Amino acid sequence: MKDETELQALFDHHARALVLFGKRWAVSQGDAEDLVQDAFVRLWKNRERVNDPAAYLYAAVRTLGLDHWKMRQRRTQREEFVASLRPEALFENRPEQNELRQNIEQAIATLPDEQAEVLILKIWADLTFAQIAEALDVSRNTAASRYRYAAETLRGLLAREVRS
Amino acid sequence: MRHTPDDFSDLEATLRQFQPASVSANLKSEIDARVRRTVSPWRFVLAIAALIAICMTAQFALKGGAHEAIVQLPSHPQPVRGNASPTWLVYHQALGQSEAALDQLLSRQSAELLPRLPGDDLRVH
Repeated sequence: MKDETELQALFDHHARALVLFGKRWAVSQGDAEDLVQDAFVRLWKNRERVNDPAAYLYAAVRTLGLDHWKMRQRRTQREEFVASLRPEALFENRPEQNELRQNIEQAIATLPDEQAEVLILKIWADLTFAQIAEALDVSRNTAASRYRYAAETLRGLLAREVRS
Repeated sequence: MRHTPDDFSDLEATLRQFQPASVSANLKSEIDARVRRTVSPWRFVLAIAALIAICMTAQFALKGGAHEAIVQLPSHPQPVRGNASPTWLVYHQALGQSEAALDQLLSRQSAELLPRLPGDDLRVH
């Protein structure tokens, strides 16, 4: 990565998907945005060594998110933590798409974490399997197979909504 | 239209109708501000090197000043060299201690540090 212009372009392209990804570990939109902010600063500090800035950003959000999650679990009782959860919409939608959005969010919530991560990175972050593999520190084949399982599950859950 | 098991284009099209929720308006500016405040590793190394150089210069100056102070004390040149810390001397002089008071302090220090001989207690009493 060369300069701040490139950093801004990365923000414009990935900010929303990064926050969506960060919500896997954050309780609120604000917490997820803090993770994204820290990830961008971390990228800037390591810009000389980073090969793929987009993959790095998602990897950083994941690492920071896991730390955040562990710290939060140590600080609060599990019951308090669950009680503090406030469901926020993951996606924007037109009013007539409310039901479909809710169904999609519920379907994603049923996926195992590792499948949901790959799905978000493929669909909304628009990363390649090579980038997903780098971000999650898994092989390309593992990333692809996780995506296939996730997509099959979602297609089953959303059979009525998915156009065929 | 039929799809092969690995063709998820229908599902992908459905999911991509939805954009992730928008982010706070100030998120970008907050990141910009933090990035600008970030010190590059090279600047950090240079700053540390400069700090070390300043400390070494200051230490050298203090030692030089202390030797002068020792020489200026007329009554106890030897004990001062042997028992007082030069930095401590300069510090007290800088605080405005009079030379006589300083002299008295140093004499007491010297006396405390001298080896006690058998019979010292008798002589005192």
